[in-house]
Amino acid sequence: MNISSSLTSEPEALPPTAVDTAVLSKRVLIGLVGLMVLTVGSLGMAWLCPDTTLLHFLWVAQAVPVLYLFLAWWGTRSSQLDDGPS
Amino acid sequence: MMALVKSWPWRVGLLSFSGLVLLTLLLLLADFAGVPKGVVNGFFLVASIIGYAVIGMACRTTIPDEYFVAGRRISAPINGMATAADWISAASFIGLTGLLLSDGFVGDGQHPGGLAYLLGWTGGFCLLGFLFAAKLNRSQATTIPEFLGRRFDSAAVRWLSAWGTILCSSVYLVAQIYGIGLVASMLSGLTFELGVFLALGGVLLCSFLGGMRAVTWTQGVQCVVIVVSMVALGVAVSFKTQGHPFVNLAAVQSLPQIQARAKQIESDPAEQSTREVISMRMSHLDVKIAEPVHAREVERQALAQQIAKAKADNLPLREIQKLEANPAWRESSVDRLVSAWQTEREALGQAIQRPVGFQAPYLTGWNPGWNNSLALVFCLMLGTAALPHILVRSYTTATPAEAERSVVWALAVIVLVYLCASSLAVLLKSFVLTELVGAHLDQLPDWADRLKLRKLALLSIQDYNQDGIVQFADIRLYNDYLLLGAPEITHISSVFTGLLAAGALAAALSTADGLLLTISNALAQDLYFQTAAPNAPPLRRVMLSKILLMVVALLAAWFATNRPVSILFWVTCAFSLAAATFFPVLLLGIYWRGMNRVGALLAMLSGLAVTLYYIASNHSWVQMRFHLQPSETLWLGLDPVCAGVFGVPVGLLLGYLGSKLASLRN
Repeated sequence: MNISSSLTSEPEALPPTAVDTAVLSKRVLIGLVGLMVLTVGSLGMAWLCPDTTLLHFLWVAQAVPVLYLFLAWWGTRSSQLDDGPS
Repeated sequence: MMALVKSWPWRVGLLSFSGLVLLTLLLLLADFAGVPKGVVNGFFLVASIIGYAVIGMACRTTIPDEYFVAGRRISAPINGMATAADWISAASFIGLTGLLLSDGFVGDGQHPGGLAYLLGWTGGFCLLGFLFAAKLNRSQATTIPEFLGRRFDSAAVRWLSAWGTILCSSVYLVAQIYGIGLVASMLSGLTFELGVFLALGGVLLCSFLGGMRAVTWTQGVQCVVIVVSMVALGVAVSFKTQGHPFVNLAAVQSLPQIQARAKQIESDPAEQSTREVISMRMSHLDVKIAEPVHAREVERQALAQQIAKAKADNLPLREIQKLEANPAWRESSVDRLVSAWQTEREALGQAIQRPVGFQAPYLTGWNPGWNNSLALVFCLMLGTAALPHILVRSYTTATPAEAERSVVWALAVIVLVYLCASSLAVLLKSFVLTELVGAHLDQLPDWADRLKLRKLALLSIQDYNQDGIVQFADIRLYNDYLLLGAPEITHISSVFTGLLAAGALAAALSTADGLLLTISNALAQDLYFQTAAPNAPPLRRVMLSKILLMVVALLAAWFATNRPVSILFWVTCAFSLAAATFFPVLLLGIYWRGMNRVGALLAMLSGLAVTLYYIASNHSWVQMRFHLQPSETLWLGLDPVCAGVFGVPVGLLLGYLGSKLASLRN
C-alpha cells in the first residue's frame, strides 16, 4: 500500500479473514509443563531451604531466567520449522 | 558477519550503541573536568528526548499499514528489542532492584518477595511464545479486539475487548507517566508536573507522527539505552566493590558477608529494642483506630499543651510545625484520620517485617507469603502473555515464525537486564548493612545524607529507640526508585546517575509509547470506526487515531500529576487485569473450536469483574468509605495485586460453560 492508495475514499482493501482454531503441539505441551515444574520447583526449593541465600540467588535469581530463555527458544523451535513463512 | 553488519536494522542498533558509549565517555571526561552534575544529567535528558523525537519524525507516516502494524515487515531481532523495551517499564527497570533489596528473595512470610516478580515477569514470555505469538500473527489483524471480533464473528466481542484493552492499558499508562515525571524532574531539576509534560512531548513526537513504525524504531534504540545503562552500572559497581567487571560474580562474592552481617544485626539488642518500640507503636495505633473519636480528643488535648509550651519556650517554627503536622491535630474528618493512622501502621509493620538479609529468619511451614508468591507469579506470567500492548507486537513481523523468534529475542534482552538488576540488589544491600546500619545519626555516610535530602527522597531514617544510632528497622528505603541512588551509594561517577536515569526514562517512554498507541487504536479502530463509521477511508482512520492518541496522553498526564501513584502497585494491577480479561478468551478462542461469542463475552466480563471487584474492595479508600476491614475483604489472605488468580479461573469456567450452554440452545 502506498500514500496515494491511502488517500482514496475506499474502505480498507483487505477483507477480514476468518480466524481458525489451532492445536497445541506436543513440544508446546512439554514446554508448558516444564515452565510450571521449573517455576514451582524453584520457588519450593527456596522455601524449603530458607537459609541457603546463595542458592536462592544462583539458582532462582540467575539460572532460572536463563533456563526460561532456553525453554522459550526450544518450545517455539518446532512450530517455526512446521510453519515456515506464511 | 559482514552481511549482518550491512543490514540497516543492525546499523541502527550498532550506531545507537556506539553513540551512547561515546556520549558516556565524553560525559565522564566532563565530570572529571568538574562540569556540574546538573549539566551532565540534564544533557542525558535533553539528548535522549531529542534523539527519540528525531527518530519519530524520520519515521512519520500516514499509511495505515505502516501506522498500525509497521508494515508487517520488522525483523525478529528488532521486533524482539522493541518488544523488550515496550515491556520493560519504569517499575520493572528501576523497581526490581529496590524490591529485591528491601523485600528480600522469598518475602517476609506475609507478602511475596522479589523472586516472584523476577520469575513472573520472565516466565510470561514463554507462555506468549508458546501459545499466542504465531497464532496472532497469522490472523493478519491490527488490534487484539479486531482479532477477537473476527474469531467470534461478533461486534460485541470486539467492543468489549476494546474497553478491556483501554482499561488495562490506562492503568499501566498512568504509572508510566508518573515514572516519566519522576525521572525527568530528577534529571532536569524542573517540577514534577513540568517534567511530565516535557517528557510527554518526546513520547508524542514518536507515536503521534509515525505510529507503530516510529514506535518500533524508537523502542529499538531505547532497548539499547536500557541495556547499556543497566550493564554499565553493573560493571562500574562491580569494579568498585570487587575490582572486576562481572557483576554476578561480585554479588556471589558479597553474599556470604551480607549473610554474616545480617545475622549480627538480627541478634543485636539495639535492633531488637527498636523493633519492640515499633511493635508498641503499632499496638497503640490499633487502640486509636478502634476508637478514633475518643483517641483524637485525647491526642488533641495533649498536642494543644505541647504546642502552647513550644510557643511559650520560643522553640523554632519548624518544631511547632512538626507538632501541628500530626494528623490528629490537622485532620477534621475522622475517616481521613483513621486512614492516616492505618498508613502509619502499615509503614511500621513493613519496618519490622522486612528481612535484614535476603531471607526472613524463622520462616518455617506453609505461610501466607508463599500463597502470595505463587499467586503473583501466576498473575504476572499470564498478564505478560495477555497484555494488549505486548500482544500487538506479534502483528509487526512478516511471518508467524518471526513473531515467535522475536519473543525469544525479547526474553534474551529482559533476562540480561534482570540478571544485572538482581546482582545490583545484592551489592547495594551490602552498602546499606555495612555503612548505614550502626552509624551515628550525626555521622551518617555522605550518600545517606544526600539520598535523604534529595527532592525525590530515596531514604528516610527515624530513630525509634532514641539511642542516636541507626538500626535496620529505623531505615525506610523507597523501593520504587532506589536504584537511581545507586551511583551515590556506591561512590561511582555521577555520570552513571545520568546514564541510569536515561535508561529509566527510555523504559518509561517506550512503554508509554506502546500503551498510548494501543489505547488510541482501540478507541479509533475498534470503537469509533467499528460502530459509527465502518466505511471510513484509511487516512481518516489514521488521523483520528493520532488525535485520540494526543487526547489520551494529556488525560493520563493530568491524572498522574494530580495524584501520587505507587508505580509498582498500579503496574501489577494492570497485569492482573490483563490476565483475567484476555488470557481465558485468547486461550479458549485459539485452541478450542467450541468456544463461541457467548462464551467469549462471559469469559471477558466475568474475569474483569471479579478482578476489578477484588482490587477495588481492598483499596484503602473503598474500605474507609464502606467501613470494611481487610480481614473481611481478603480472600485466602491474598494481596489485591494478585486479583487475577481469581479472575482467570472464573473467566475460563464461564467461558466454557457459556459456550456449552449457547451451543445447546442452538
